[in-house]
Amino acid sequence: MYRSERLLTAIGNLDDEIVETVGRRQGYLPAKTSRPARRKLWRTLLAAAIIASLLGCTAYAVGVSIHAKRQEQLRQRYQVEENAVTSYAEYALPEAPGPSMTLLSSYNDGTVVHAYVDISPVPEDEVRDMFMFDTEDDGLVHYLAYLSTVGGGEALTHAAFFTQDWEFAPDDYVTVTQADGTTQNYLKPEAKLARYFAQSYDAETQTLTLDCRFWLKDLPQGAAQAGLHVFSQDVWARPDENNNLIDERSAIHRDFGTIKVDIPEPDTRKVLFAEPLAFTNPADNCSARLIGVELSSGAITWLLTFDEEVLPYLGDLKSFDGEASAAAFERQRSWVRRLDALVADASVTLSDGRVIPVPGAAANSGNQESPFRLYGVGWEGTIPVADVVSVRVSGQRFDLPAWRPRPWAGKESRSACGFRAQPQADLPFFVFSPMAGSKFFHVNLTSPGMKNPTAYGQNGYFICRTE
Amino acid sequence: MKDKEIIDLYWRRSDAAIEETARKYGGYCHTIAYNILENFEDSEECVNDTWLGAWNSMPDKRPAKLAAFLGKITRNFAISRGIAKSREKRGGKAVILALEELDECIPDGFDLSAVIEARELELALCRFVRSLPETERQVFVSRYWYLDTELRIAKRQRFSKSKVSAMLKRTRSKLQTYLQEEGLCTVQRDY
Repeated sequence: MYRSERLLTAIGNLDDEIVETVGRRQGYLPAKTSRPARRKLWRTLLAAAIIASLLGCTAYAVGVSIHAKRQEQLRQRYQVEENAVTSYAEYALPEAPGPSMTLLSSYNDGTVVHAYVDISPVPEDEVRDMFMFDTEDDGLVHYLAYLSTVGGGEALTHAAFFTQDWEFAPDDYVTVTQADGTTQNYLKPEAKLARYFAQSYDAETQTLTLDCRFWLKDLPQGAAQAGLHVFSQDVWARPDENNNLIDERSAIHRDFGTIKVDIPEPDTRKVLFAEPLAFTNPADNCSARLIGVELSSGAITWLLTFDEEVLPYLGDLKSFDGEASAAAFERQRSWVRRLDALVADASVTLSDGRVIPVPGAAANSGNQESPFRLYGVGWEGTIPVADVVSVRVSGQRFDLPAWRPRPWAGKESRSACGFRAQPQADLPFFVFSPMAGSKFFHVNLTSPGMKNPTAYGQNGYFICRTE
Repeated sequence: MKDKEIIDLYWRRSDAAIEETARKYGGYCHTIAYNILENFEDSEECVNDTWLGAWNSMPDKRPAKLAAFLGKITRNFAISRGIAKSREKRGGKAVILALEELDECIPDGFDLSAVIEARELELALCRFVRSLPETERQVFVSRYWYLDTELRIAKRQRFSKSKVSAMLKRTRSKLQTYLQEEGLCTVQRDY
């Protein structure tokens, strides 16, 4: 019996107001949006109008200059002029300040469409909260999510912050020794946070730049535009039955509105090799063939067929606890390692003789109903895709035919340049997604018919060492 | 749905009341329960008990702040369950840790006066908490009302854990002085 039991009980009956105020401040409860009283609202509007008339010119110049600066950064990032990138679109900036959301540009890498938007005003502490959520995943904080609305349908897009480069100093990493004695380097959250902050946020105008990502497979075939709805939500992290943290979202907290985003035509070249490259995986003595590539300014995707049903689809497994699941998982990993080794020395050669190495590999899988697979990886920047004359992989050179621009135009949908373009339409698939500048890669599981891209992270998310 | 509408559902004895409550405050109540019990199943049961408790309380009650009202029910259920589990040596560590810390507020050889009414003690505690500086109040309520861990509080406040520990220790010391000054402590009797 503790003397303080009565005290603990009495604390439980603190004023409701104290409990609720602390609950909201600390994120146990979603923050409330308050609507100012009508009289106060008029006073505020009047004051705002006077201030705006005094500062209007300056605010306009500052507001527009940050948008223009970001567009310049994006052009550099995608090397738009240098590589004659046609799958990048830039939008006219508003002629006057006012909208809380400004569309800067969009880019289609053949699998994912990136829409870059500025939103403002976003208070600095709110941004810091979002970054902390991203870096620590401890939840109970407030962050932004994005909703794409296409033809009346809705899909939650992947949330990300705009970043231009990911170079970090050695001091930015911490080395952790695993239970098995191996070591891994992890990026310190504060280093990542500082980089995010420096690249995505303009404190002077309270403008946050977002990279909103649509997966082409989630858009209707042939869609030329998508609606992008940006809003903020409170997100709760709560443990599920396995004590893993899962998200729960509250109602919309702040609404920045909806804008239309053009989906640029992808600049994808699809090439099937005359002689496929056969290879085996010594781990299970099964074989596969590399039959071709899909090249775009933003990514290279390897087209593969498997000669046997070698890869159980992890999404079909109910749990990873059993020995069978563990064995299947290990088999998957052995194939990921094998494919990574296969393309480890891969490169593309341009017409001017330059050789561009393929930046590693990363994998994802579909189910077993078909032996067809795609494996892709993104360039760290872009390449002049029209100038590629050959691909070299595992010591073999595959010459590419001259490219006919937009080979699918008018025949199939734009999204067909991704996996839907294959004759084996509706096949499930693997997609490898790289982390640029990282020595790790993800294996993102997808499942047929899955419409919510955020489910990727929940469905299966593995990080494997490539070295 | 607004709180008032949810309360109206309870008063109309509509089944939708619990559904709407769970949708709006399920995460909140689960967090409180999980802070205390550190176990998913126990927390879920506790949250379900909360809905039943709310169903039995409304009517006659019409809480002005539904979140706090539900949170208090959850907290009470969870603490009772936590203490019971600790007695059976099957858990309840979070509650025991909080009790041990709060024991520091009562000087050695003293006890909370048995003749003091519970309501009097509660009012005194409200005055004490209101008198605390803003940050200290946030941290104190997070720790002893929400029974959140020092580590999580530190993360949210962007303090180091040691800073939160020191702040809580200082507040407990203030509370000890306050309880004595208010005459809420009496010499402990050995029975």
